Amino acid sequence: MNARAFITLVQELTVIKVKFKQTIKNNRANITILIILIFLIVAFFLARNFFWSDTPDTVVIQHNDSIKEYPLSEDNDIAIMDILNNYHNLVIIKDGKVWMEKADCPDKLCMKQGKISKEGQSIVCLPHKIIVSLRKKGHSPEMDAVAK
Amino acid sequence: MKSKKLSFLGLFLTAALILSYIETLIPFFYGIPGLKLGLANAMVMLLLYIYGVKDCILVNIIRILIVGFFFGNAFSIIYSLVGALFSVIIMVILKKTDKFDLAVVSICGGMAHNTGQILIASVFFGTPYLLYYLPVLLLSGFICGGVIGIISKGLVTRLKVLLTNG
Ligand SMILES: [Zn+2]
Repeated sequence: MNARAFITLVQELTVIKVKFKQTIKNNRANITILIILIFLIVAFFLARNFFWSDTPDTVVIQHNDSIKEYPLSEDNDIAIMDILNNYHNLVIIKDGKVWMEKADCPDKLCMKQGKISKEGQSIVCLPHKIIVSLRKKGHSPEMDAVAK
Repeated sequence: MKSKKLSFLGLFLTAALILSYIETLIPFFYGIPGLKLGLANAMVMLLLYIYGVKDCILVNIIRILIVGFFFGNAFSIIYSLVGALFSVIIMVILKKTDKFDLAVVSICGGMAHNTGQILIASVFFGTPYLLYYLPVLLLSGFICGGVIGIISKGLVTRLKVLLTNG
């Protein structure tokens, strides 16, 4: 490589550098907000893993205002009825996994949520106001307070 | 001029309804409350950037009510309205500052939409359990909002010329 080609290369690089700096300067607001958002997302993931990362032992089923707890270690079929004893949902606990086997809600989204097995995960049936959650007993006090 | 605008608003509404319907057919992260692609948000962006805040909010409310009556229930309507409210407020504020790219505004809108929905669902159930899904919802809002934003940006620059001239 001769000296001339080298100088041209340096000049071109300088131009690219200036253009790059200008792009950043013109988009400072956009870049700042994107960095903040990415930081926020990472922070929320870390916080979640901090609060919920144990092996769950309890299945909490909240239906309207009633809250019931079941051990995750015991296989169980739980029918959820309304106050008139009409049967609406069937929750199954088996081999440390929980899922909604049957439901007569219009959207059936609860059945499509599949099996859950990690602490903090939930199955939600919005139309019937049911939420099935996995948690570890005595893990977080504010959640125990909610469960009482 | 007035009737032309009205017919275009109707066209946007129809497009938004079709997109909302398509979204109910796509098996995308089933069931986590609030997790959606936000396809209809592309129409919201177009309305916001071409016609302004008022028309955008009006068309969006009509869309949510129609979708709610056809494919949902009273709660899913409230749920959608809260999400839409969160995202529209954030997007209008960011657009007003005139400092941010349309795609960035869309990203913030997507994230605000999902946050609003998870919050209203948490209030509805009265538990913090659903916050487990907040990080995933923020991430999906970021990605989907970005993709929708880039598409909308292309559409806005082309349509604006078409719709405001003549
Ligand atoms: Zn259901």
